[in-house]
Amino acid sequence: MQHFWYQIKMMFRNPTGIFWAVVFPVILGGLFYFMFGNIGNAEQFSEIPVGIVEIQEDNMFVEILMQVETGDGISMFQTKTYKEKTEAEKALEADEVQGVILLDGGEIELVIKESSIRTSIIQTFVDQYLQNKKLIEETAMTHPERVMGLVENLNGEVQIQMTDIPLKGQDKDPYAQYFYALLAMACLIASSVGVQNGLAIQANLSPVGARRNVAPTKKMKQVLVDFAATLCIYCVLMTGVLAVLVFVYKQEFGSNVGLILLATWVGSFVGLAGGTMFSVVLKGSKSTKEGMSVVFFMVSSFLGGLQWGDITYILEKNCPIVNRINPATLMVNAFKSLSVFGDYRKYAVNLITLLLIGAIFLVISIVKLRRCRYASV
Amino acid sequence: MVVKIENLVKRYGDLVALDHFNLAIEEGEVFGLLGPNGSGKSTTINCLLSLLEFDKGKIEVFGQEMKPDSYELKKDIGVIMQNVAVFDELTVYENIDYFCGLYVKDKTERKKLVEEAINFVELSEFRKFYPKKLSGGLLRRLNIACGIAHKPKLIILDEPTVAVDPQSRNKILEGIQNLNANGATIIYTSHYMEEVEQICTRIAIMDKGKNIAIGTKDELKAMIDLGETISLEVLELSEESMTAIQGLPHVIKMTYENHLLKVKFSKGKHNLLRLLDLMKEREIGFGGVHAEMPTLNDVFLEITGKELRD
Ligand SMILES: Nc1ncnc2c1ncn2[C@@H]1O[C@H](COP(=O)(O)OP(=O)(O)OP(=O)(O)O)[C@@H](O)[C@H]1O
Ligand SMILES: [Mg+2]
Repeated sequence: MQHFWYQIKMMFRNPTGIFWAVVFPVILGGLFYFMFGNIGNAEQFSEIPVGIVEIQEDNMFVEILMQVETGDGISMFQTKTYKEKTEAEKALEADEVQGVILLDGGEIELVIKESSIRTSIIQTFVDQYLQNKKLIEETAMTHPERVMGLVENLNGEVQIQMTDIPLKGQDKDPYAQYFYALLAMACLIASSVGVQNGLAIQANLSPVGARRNVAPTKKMKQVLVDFAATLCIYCVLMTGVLAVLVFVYKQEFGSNVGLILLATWVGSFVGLAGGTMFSVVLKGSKSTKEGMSVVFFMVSSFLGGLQWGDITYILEKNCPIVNRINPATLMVNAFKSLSVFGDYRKYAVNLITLLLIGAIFLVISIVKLRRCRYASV
Repeated sequence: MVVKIENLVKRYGDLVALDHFNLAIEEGEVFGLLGPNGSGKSTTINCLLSLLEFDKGKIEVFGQEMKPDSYELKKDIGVIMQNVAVFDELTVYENIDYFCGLYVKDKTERKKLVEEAINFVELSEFRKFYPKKLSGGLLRRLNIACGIAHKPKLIILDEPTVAVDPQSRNKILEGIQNLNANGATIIYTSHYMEEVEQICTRIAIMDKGKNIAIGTKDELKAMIDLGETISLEVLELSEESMTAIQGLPHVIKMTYENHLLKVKFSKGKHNLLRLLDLMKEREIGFGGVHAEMPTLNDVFLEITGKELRD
């Protein structure tokens, strides 16, 4: 037990790890705050303009399209009907509409100028519609009264799909995304401290590691004690960072800030476990391992949308698996599902995935460490 | 038998660091591992402690096989590594308490042990110091305290006096003898033959990963022919006289450089007397006569053909 307190003492006496975890996000957050502060509230939600060309009439599609709403009850799409395809394409070129939907009997084709978040929402809708089309048509024939229910379902599907992609111009605060990613990065910075902990328990990487290896206390116990102490400190630090974001930078995190806080703790757990694992699994010198932990949290938060919000959208389209396992993205999604959508199920899924990833990291570290002899000391 | 090492082979790539190395250490010994830099002393210690993988061989401590999870054995071992191993962020007292805590869980007992260790290495004035503020010698003493606070039965010290001033060094050597007097078995590695001669009851001489000689210092010295080396300051010495000296009985080797005549004799009586008689006979003036008994360096030199230290 005294080792727990010694670990905490050591962290405070050599506060580099603490320093970066707090100062970096606070400074960057301040930067965001001043950069976005001016333009912040200017951009309100606006409906997505969609051009429709009915080569053959498809009333049902148009009807349903117009019924789709955002969570706040505003219509999601604004339709403009064109007689000719060329006419619609001109409008698309002139950015009057974000996409053009060609309706030709059963066929539905979406034409867009360039990929963006908004076009992806249109795409999601079209896909969902096509998937459910048969069901809706059949229901319309047999039980017309149930069609509304189905449409609502579809509506919900589209909204849930949207939680995975950053909705620039859709959120109450369009720049919240960056603050979420920032908070995610703050948690993952714990990985650099995780590496330090890992180095200090390995005989071939530090003299104290050698001393701790020849002692009769199990390695697993030593690793877990260090881990617990460091995690406690990080939980406190993240509470502080979150407080700064909420009270100083006035970020909205929805009604349940407690759960947001919990997500940052889970995030720190993943960061720490990741760092520990890097220090054990990676070949190479001390500095390689330290470097890799920095690369880890940088890349992870970049993919989470820290520097460029559209990245998660692009990944969602081309390589969705990254968004399902990248810790920073999972954290951003957890924050977002609470503060933007109030979707607890989504939040729980993200959090559990994070916990699993962290646990895997930790188990790998411990398995690798215990009972090992080193090739060279 | 406290330690038994049989046919230990350790390779680093192509380099054979330990080549069928054997060792047996009895309870109560101060056992010296003497060898030049790179001879494999630290490698032996690290294998013994199950820190290093090795290619072949068997290692037993207190009669049981030593493995990374031999926690019962590890409880009774104290280790002072060649590199100082302390936390820079903890004070002298805290460091000792930290490492002692890995062996002793009971708080009051540990407190007592830590105090004893601090007094033992005479660091009580520095208990609140951080390692960075300690001089080299004091740091080494802290390193030792961290390794022995839990009162181990077997204490392993790997070159604990490297880069230590003579005052601290003597303190350390005395301390080791005290530990031994209190019942601990000691393994002491060094490339300083004087230290090893001073404190060790038995010595193994290592070279290139092999155990080339083993015994008490007297036994080791008895292994070689050399009896004594006599040196005289001589202003002038003719070729003829040199030949005469070389002709004396028991002379192994003679050198004359910078007015210093050195004659190595094999074992035998009256060597000094005969040499002095010859000097008188030939009326060669001389001063400053020294007779040296053989050192472990001579033993090493004779077995390997090179000096222990370059
Ligand atoms: N990690 C390593 N990788 C490769 N070779 C090594 C390694 N460690 C030691 N060696 C080599 O193994 C041999 C034995 O080294 P060892 O450290 O055991 O010597 P030593 O007797 O302790 O020397 P010293 O007096 O310098 O401490 C040396 O030739 C050394 O170069
Ligand atoms: Mg060595």
